[in-house]
Amino acid sequence: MSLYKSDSDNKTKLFENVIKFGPVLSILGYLSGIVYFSLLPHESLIHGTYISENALLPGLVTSDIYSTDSIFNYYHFLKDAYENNGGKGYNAELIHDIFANKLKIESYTQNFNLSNPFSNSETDGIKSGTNAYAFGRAQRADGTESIVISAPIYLSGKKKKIPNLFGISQLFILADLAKTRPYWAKDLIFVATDMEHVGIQAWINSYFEAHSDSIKGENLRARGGSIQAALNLEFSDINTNKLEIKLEGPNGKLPNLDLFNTIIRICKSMQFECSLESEKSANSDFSYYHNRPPVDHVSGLINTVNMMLKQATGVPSSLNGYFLNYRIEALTISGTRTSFSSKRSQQKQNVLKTTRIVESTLRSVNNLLERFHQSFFFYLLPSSHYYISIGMYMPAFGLIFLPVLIKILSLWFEIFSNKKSTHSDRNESGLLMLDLLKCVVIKFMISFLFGIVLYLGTPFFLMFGKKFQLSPKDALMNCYLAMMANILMTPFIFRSKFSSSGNKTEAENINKLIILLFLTIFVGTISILNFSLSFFVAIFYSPIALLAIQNVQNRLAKFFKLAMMVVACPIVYFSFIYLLNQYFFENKNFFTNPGQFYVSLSEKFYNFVLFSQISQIWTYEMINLFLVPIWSALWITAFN
Amino acid sequence: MMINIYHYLIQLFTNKHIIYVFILIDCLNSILVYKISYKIIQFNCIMENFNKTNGKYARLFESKEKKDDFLLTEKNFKPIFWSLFAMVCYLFNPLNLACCMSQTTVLIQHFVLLMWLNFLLNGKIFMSYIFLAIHANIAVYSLVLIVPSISFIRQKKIFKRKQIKSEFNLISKHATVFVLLFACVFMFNLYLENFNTRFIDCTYLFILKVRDLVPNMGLFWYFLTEMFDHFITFFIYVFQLNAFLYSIPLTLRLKNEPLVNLLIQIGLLYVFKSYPNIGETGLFTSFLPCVAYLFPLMRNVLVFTCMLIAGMVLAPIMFYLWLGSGGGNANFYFAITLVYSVGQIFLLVDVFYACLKREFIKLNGSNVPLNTDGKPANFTLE
Repeated sequence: MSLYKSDSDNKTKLFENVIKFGPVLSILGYLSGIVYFSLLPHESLIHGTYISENALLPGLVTSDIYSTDSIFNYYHFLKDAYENNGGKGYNAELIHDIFANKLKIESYTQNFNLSNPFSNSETDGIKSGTNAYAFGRAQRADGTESIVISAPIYLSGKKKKIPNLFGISQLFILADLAKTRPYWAKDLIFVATDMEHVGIQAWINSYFEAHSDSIKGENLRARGGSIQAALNLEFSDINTNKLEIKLEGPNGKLPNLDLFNTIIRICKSMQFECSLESEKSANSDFSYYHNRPPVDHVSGLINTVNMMLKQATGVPSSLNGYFLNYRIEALTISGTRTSFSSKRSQQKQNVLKTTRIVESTLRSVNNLLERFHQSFFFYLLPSSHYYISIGMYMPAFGLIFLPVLIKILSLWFEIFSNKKSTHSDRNESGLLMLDLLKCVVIKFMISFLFGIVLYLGTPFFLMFGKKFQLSPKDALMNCYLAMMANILMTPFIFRSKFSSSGNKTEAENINKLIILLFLTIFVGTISILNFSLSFFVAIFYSPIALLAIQNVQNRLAKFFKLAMMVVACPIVYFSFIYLLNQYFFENKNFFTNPGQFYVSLSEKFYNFVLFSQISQIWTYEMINLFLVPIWSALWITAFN
Repeated sequence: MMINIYHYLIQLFTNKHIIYVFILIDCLNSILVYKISYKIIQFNCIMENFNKTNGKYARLFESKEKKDDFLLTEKNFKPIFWSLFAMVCYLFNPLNLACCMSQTTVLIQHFVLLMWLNFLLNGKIFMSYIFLAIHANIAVYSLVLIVPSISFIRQKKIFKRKQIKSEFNLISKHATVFVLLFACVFMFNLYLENFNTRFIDCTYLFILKVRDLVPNMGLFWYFLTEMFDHFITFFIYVFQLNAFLYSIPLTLRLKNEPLVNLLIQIGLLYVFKSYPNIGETGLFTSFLPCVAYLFPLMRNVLVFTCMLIAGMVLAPIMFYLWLGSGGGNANFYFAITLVYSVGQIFLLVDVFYACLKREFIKLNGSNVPLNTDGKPANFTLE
């Protein structure tokens, strides 16, 4: 062979091997990735959680809360205020009043406004609310660090708003402790927030003087220094005998695993039932208190998938998420009731234990000398005692994406390895450039144009909807589906322009290569930021992309290919996941009632988009800006 | 001196209009890139033609497998097309776009460097030395670029069939002229600062001593943060030596291909300098179409393309993970910076390899020589 070729014999052998064994390796890789991921919660691969930060020493101190009398006093006081006068008396002013006058600690209120991000006019109105916040300054510390305990005034329940009476009462008890005990090394900041997600964002943004377009809050009049950790308390009822912990923050962020482990261990030492919110099959066998409960593979896998579904949307599961934006480790402790035995003594025990758990957690965090940095920030939890770290789940992700990578390699070799040295390739390069322009550039420009229209278009969609007098959610859904229909029609409209002349295969190969590269870059970068989202995208788009690129001749196969491509439309795929989620995890059977499914889907979609705009969650924007163009480029390619 | 210029510019244009100045400079840069690429390709074609008529490539024509258009001529490697392509690469390179949008002063440094290249290729040596002296005063590392300049001038003199009486005379003459010009600019700076020598410490020695360890896309800051103070001076000497050392050996090896030498050296000094900039990588990559005839001979195109793309895309994310979101630490960011730098180095080494291979083919024909044991030999870079 001559020296003109850039590769040696060994390299050509490698190329040929890749092209020959590529498909087998791809299928093997994909399947083994899925199998490996399902095997992760198995006891041979799983690891038990442990406390990495030695300073935490969970459950080591004796509690300072002896009687429940004061707790019940505050609870009944708040309950009276809620039930009289239609609930108007129960608000932030009342809480501020209790902090300032009864407990006599530094307390303030903060007003904030929420404006609808999609309308410039005042037709939708500006909602406003008030937070109350108080500082329990530590007696013997220098006030440079603090812990935040927040409780929303109202919880957003399934049907109506439930007052968080027990949560707020706990704030008062802890404030009493903060004022009188000398062992606090950090200040305690108590925040009672209005309007759930909006109020806590207003408070945090004002604390860090960050700017938000839709939420504007008053400046805070006092601060507590650098916040080390935050707890959020949500109790719908005072009779709680089980705690559920919510972790997920916005855009897939998670708190440090140490904080979670601390609470689990404290609950274990007090023999109180505690689990993750996504843990559907909780272990109620209390004999494991001296050890870990045994690993249950199937329920572990279900819990992991549930947690990933919650993380993938990028919506925080509760108010604690907004602290994670500023790297303040935060959790939500929410209390539920599993059994309805309401013996008076049992109730008192439960109330005492719950309050002691919160207090003990705060004492542990109080011991910290530095911020949480020891334990994991990227993990998946199959149960409250076992974790899957990023080193274990990333290989599964890599294996699932292996088909696309092998295809990229083989396309590259095909493009750059066969040099036809028969005729002069200077003329050819000009023709190639023209082909490239026609095939590649136009397709990508159109696809990205669709993506940009969807990214910027939500206010316009709502405006169109208003002109046709549709409700906002119908407007958004209809316009979005109209854009999707537009994309689906594109190959038919532009059929003549996309066909290339002359050197067809080379430009086509370059086109496919660039699409796959875009998909790889998108999935790869999102996997670091929000792993679950990229996992769900990769697990489906990895085979779909290869299917779309394959040239099939058989009519049936072609029809199958096009049908799969329609299913691969982002909104179709994600509504399918929503359907499955509702069916398996919330027991709502939509298969029998598609109309209701559509209504519920459009409502959820609109709420999701509105929420993303207010709380700065980038999931919707990224999918519009990158996944939709990639899908539309694949769809257009699938037609040639 | 540059600070005075910037101050004057900012005063002349208000905040809103200063962006237009940067856009203007970017456009000027792109025009210069076009002209320079045109000249480079033209020169390469002339050089190969000259060597062919001199009979240097006799063995190439005797070889079995002939590729008719292997040597560069204006017909098969159109200067207009490839220099336009270089200009498009400069204008649409995302690194350069990012630089222009963020209004960095790197654009002005590029302008000075490109003026130097322009005058050098056109033959006006004195003017080119003035610009190189200015650039060397801004960024100390461009001092080494005098060596490829002298090599190019020597090659040009050979073409004009002027006898070089003594190469040492040539080198020393040009070197002294450059050093004098450099000293002139330095004196001008001194004059502007009213003869207060404090500025030397702030500008030249700052770049050389690397006192400010802000995380950037370079290799220096991470090493120096991990080191005891005791050893910092030693390691700084080694790192700076690394940056300056490659110039003379490369020039000696690539005596016959001065322009490829020039491009590689520009690229190298931008990888190893103490505070690199992504715009500088952009400038170097936008000159790559000038040497597009080397692409078929390169070995690791996939490797360095993937490394560069991965480095460019993941660098801001890792930076955000470390300093924004808090889920990572400095190692994440430095790993990606390393990937980026290594990708650049692979690119430069591949260009060098392709150049050497092409030289080998031109001089020895395209047959694969046989080893001592009769098998075809492998062409490797030792």
